[in-house]
Amino acid sequence: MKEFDENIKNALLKHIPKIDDDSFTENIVKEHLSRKLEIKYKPFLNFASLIIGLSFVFISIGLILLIRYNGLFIEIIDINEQHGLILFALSFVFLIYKWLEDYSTSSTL
Amino acid sequence: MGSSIIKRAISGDPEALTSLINQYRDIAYNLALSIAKDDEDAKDITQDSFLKVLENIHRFRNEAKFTTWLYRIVYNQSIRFVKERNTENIVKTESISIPENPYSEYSVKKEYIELYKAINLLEDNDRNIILLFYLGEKSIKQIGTITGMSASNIKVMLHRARKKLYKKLNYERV
Repeated sequence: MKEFDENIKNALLKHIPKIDDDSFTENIVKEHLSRKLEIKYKPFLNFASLIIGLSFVFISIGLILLIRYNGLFIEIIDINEQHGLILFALSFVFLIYKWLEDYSTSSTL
Repeated sequence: MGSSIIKRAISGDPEALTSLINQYRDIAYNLALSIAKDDEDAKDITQDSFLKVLENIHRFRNEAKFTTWLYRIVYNQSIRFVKERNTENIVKTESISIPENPYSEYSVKKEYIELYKAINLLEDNDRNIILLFYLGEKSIKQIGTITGMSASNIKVMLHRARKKLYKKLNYERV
């Protein structure tokens, strides 16, 4: 490194203002560790999302069974077994999406 | 050394976290201060940025990557903060304090003081790049990741900033 570059570095190292608060680092460590603990004891999914997602799973299973064993009733409202399967798949997509929304931290970067 | 401290910090070792923060807090704070121009605001930005990066520390395998992300978050948070505050981006050169230490070998060298004053008179972007390049020891590419600017743009700004400093200090050539 050239002498001038060294001088710039040394000038900065020597004269930049420093954080004068002694508790600055300690506060960050405490806050970080308490947040970490909070995440550790968080349920795997938000309760309301879990109830909604599972309800749709059961509704779709019910719908599929109804279509399979009581085709006449379903024909009136023009729904077939495939619609039930789509609802079933969507319920899982919803559960996965909510899980990602609650726990993925990528958006913070 | 670098990766082991990261590993320990990931596991929540308070000693490793303290060491990691202490090592980089002043550079992060100066970057925030350079943009936000207020001591308390710069401290808040630095604290928030550390919390964000530590939350995602498991993603970083080494300190270089960790600090690049840290400075990037500090940079973006500071820019956002200034926009929200909606104040003029004026360099407050009068608020720069030059610590005096009669026992320090550096303070004897007035050149460093003059150089530091000259750095503070640079335009915001130039000063930030000087900070990241010399103090943060970041490469042109990494500064690009932090600031979102192109490598060629950073090279030009760095060259221009060095030239200005040279002129101020009456160096003969860059």
